[in-house]
Amino acid sequence: MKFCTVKQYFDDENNNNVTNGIATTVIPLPNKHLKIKANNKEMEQYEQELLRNVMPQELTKLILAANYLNFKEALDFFCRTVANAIQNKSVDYVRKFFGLESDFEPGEEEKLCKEFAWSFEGVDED
Amino acid sequence: MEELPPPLIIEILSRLGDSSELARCRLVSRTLNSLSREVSKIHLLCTLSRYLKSRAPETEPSVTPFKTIISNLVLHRQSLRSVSIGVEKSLGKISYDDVEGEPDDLYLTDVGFVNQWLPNIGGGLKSLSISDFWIQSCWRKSEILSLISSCCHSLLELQVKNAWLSVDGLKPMPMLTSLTLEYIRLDDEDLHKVNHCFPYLKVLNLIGVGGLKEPKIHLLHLNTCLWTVSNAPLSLTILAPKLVKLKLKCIKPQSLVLKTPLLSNFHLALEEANEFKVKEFPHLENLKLESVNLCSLISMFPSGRIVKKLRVDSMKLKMTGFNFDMLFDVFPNLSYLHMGSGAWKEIENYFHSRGMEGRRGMKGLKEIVGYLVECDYLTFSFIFSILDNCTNLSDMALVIHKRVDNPTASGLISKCRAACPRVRWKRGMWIEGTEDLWVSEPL
Repeated sequence: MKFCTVKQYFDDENNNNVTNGIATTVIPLPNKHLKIKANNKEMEQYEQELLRNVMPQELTKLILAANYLNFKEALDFFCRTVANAIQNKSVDYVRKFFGLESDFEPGEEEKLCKEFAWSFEGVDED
Repeated sequence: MEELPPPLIIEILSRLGDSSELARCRLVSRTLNSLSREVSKIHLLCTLSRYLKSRAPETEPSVTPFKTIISNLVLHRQSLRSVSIGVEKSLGKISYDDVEGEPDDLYLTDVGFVNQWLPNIGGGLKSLSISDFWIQSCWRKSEILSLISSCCHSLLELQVKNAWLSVDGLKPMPMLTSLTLEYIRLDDEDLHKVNHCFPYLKVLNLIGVGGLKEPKIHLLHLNTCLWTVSNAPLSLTILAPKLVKLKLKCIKPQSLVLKTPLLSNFHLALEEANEFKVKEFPHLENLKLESVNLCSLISMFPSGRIVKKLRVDSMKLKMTGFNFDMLFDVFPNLSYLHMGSGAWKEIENYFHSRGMEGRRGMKGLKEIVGYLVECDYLTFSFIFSILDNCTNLSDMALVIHKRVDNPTASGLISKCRAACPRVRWKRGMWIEGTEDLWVSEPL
């Protein structure tokens, strides 16, 4: 069932959704998953290895690929990775990570800052 | 980031550790601000550092009260599906003597507090978890179960920790399938109200629940149960026709009655049982037994013929006559045997004084895992006798205590490998308090 979408992808010649580089990362995952499904620690190590070479921007593409291929475990894994990467970091860090800019009205941001002042304890420096 | 459609951004935001992370994300951009509100769960623990800051005069004024944070987070969030609030485990270590006065600020099972926000969001809530602050909750009874049963008609999963709970006013919750009560004083002596109000439970975890006298779990749909009893009630009864997995840890119940015909995975830790009325377990394949007196416990056990996977351990070292042959008299069809350090020691000592006769069932054994506390020249002769009798053994793992030096441990494995090369040997190392380590041998 995991392989239906993959087959579709290969059959679909004009596919722009998933570039080749991404495909080579995502597609071997189902097999590896099946092999070491029982052993969570090994899977974690494998996942760490995989991610060492991946840039944050690529993660976005990986998430889209996993979503398109309807591969739930990979989607969960990549989303968790992004979440872990921005965990406990400052607002500026998160902005830089995603390449976003503050698009708030002048008063809006201060208001939110005040409302959520409690959440700023224990935040790492950049 | 712009390429990610909102549903995928929500997937990422839903995986942030807790709600304070999510709150910080709201300040990043308008998109994240509005999408954060779509995350359907709230998870917030009061950390030790927050607690200490709220008690220190210098920092106290700048700390927002925890209850206020919760109330604000939950405001107008009808789409919430899961709420999990509590105090960090480390706060459980704070002693009574350190606390002055009778503060309320972390008394989370306080009905007055929960009533401020639960009725608004309760309708759609599927999962609720409250880990209270024992020092503030243990001396007063809470009617929170009644409130939850009135507000949360769709609740599937409920977890309450560190509180004193009354069952007055508790109404039936037919949707609830999972209930966990941990370190609770429950005013429902025989569990009658629990059985009556949560009839469709599939998972029940009662961990350190006090206030029980002759507790009887009687649940027709129960599938998995974990029950740890720290005091010694007179009797423990479980009537659960669909129960498949049970972990029961108790000390010295006067009687233990189990009517669980579909049980297939059973972990029993027991110091002593005077009366052990257990009907047959025709499906019991996986059994773990821990006791001070393994010999006596094993001989009380019915349906041994069906058990395929067995784990045994002795809690205190007592020479009770427990031995390898006896194991196979009661469990003749084992394919997997796991011996904890206490059990291994008892069995090995018996072997050195009385030997091993062998039983037919030993030929069916495929895999052994043994935990060793020490390793000397006699250990090998014991293992050799096992190998001699368990002629179809294909895997054996020896997990040796850290205090045994590496050359000795390594030497033992080499000797075993030489004596019986057809077996796959694995070596591990254990020490109390940490996870076991597997050691890979050089070829």
